[in-house]
Amino acid sequence: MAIDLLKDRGVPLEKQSFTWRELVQAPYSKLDDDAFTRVRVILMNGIESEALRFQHACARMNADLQMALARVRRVEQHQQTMVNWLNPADQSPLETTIGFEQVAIEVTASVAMAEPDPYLAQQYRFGLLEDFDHLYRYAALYDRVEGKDANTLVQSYSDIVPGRPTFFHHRYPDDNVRLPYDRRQAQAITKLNAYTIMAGEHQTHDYYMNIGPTFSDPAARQLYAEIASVEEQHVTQYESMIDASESWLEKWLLHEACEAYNYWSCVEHESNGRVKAIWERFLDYELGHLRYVADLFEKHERRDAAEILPSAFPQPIEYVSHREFVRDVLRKEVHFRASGTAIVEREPDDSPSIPYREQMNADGSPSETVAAGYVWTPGGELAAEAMSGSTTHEETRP
Amino acid sequence: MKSETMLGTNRTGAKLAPEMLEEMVSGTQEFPPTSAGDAEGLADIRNAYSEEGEPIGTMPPPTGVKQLAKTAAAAVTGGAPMQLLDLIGERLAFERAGTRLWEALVAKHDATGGFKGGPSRDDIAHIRDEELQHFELLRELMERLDADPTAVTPAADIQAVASMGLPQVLTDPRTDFLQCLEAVLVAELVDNDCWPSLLELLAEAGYRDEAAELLCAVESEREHLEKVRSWLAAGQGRSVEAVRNLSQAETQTIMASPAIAALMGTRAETTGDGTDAAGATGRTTKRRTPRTKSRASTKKSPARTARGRAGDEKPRARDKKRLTKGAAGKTVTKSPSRRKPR
Repeated sequence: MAIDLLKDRGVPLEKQSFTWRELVQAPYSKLDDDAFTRVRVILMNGIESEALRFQHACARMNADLQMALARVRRVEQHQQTMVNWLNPADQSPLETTIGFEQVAIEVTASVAMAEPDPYLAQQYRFGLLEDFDHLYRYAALYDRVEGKDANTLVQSYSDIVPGRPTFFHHRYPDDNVRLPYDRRQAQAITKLNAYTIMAGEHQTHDYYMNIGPTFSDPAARQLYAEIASVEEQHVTQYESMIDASESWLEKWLLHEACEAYNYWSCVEHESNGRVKAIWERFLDYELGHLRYVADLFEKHERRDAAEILPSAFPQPIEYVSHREFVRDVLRKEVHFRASGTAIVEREPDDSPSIPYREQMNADGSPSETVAAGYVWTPGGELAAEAMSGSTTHEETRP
Repeated sequence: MKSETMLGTNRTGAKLAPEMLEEMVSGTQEFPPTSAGDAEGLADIRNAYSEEGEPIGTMPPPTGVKQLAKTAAAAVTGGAPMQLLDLIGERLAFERAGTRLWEALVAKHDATGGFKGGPSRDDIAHIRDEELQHFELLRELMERLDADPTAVTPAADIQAVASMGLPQVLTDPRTDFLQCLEAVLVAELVDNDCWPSLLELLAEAGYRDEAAELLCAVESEREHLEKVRSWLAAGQGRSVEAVRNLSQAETQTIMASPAIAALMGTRAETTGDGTDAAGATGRTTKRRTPRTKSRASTKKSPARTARGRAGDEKPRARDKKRLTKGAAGKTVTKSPSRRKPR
């Protein structure tokens, strides 16, 4: 579907409306739908969540934009609701968590492959190996607490093996800040990539912070506490990659472009017809927002929106398995560490992250404990034990 | 009606894509675990926290003179009246929640219709009303024991956590009637295990008459279980007769157990109806759960009105399920009326 971002006007803001019934539609099926439908729903909820987060922050700093922000934000709120409510009730918070990590693996891999700036592409690969490890840790938790197989959710698209061990993700704050792209020189895809991954990671962090305490098992509570902390670092990393000298309106315009780009990518790949219709509708809504904000941008800043926006979208996010790419990165870069704004092969001996990490892991590492000796097996770890006939539990527990 | 389970596009199985499965397994060989050990490490974390000894909660303090005296006496004798009140609170909460479960099953029946050998709408509504009556019996008992029936006791809280998934199944528009019957079976099995235990503990604590009065709940819960099992058998195409025979034999065993048989004797002496343990046939006795006031006839409490609920203009859930007196004076759940907010 060809879109001209500078000419297509989408659905005008005043014609974007909902009913409560419309907001709450039948969810996708945890059992029957493709794993990438869940991935898209989770990501788009994050994209809309970021839209609201940004627009509220913007309103607090720009009195003259408050009315316009309030109008657009009413629609974003309901878009997020309709998208997030597509998650089914039989999908537990831990199952949704596994979906979040699959988003962080497959979408970040797609972005890393498409990113033309080598420094930023390196950052995506760096973050990717960490979220990849989180999937493995949560899969172990899911198997060992609930007796379930995470592959029923990831559907063999993503490997369930260790990445860069979560144990090593904990860094001194300064080692999480990165260098930004240059707003005047960066390509559109670079900006869209950064806005997309920042949104996804921020929602991941917020989700873990909300659901972590809903678990009774202290091992689960500790694992969520640990990984939520890493996700906060990821938000720090990805938001610092965005040029802070973009004006508020420029950022708003880019947020709207990012939303439209992501809905368009979803439309290109969606296999569930009912969900696809929502992506199409919201693509038209976002084009309406984009036009509305472009008019504001041109009026307030007396600049042409074409300075910021391309006329056509770059290539869409690829909702496919990136197994080979991820494994290749894993083989070559699993030992990489952050040092200041750089990614290095060997952590300096005087790195402030070393004592920080030692402090945080001083009472034990939840991520290591939860996944100690864990090898993903079709049907769950117990399937291997049951098939081998070596039921050792009684022998090992006094 | 057979289950509506149908062949479709379920994608959860790894064998759907054998080549991808092979790759998944090969990955685990190339990238092994980062530390040695097994699942027992999780238990070690749990145990370390358990050593801190934080309970999930405690019992509320006694509210009246009688309960205060009981508590003091128990402190001297080493007894545990609090455990008994905790379990009464557990049943009370479960019966109240159970009423809502059966209400949801009425709605599910309205939405999906019945099936041959399955319950009618009235069958379901009848059980719903009996659950409500059990709740009322326990509420009255708590009042008589000078305990607070509005408090959530630790056992009530834990049983509620354990059964969290039941309303999720019943109220999910995607579940079918048989799937919901499976969920209420779980609730009824718990109820059928807990009621006789509670009565035994009540009798042991000296509340023999009170326990005998609650025999009617044991009897009607036995009926509920037998019915649910029979409906499920019919829905799944199994022998209803075999299920009934099994349930009735089970009922006979329970009613003839020493604790329950003794209470049947107490009740026979009190009422003079001659039914005792020896007379229990396995079918429940004809003594029914005492009738309680229907919600329709219960006036709003001043406290509730004072909080402004009486003037609330929002549509309320209770408007959708109006309870009225049926022809036999029974509490009956009526069909929902589509009322708009006033």
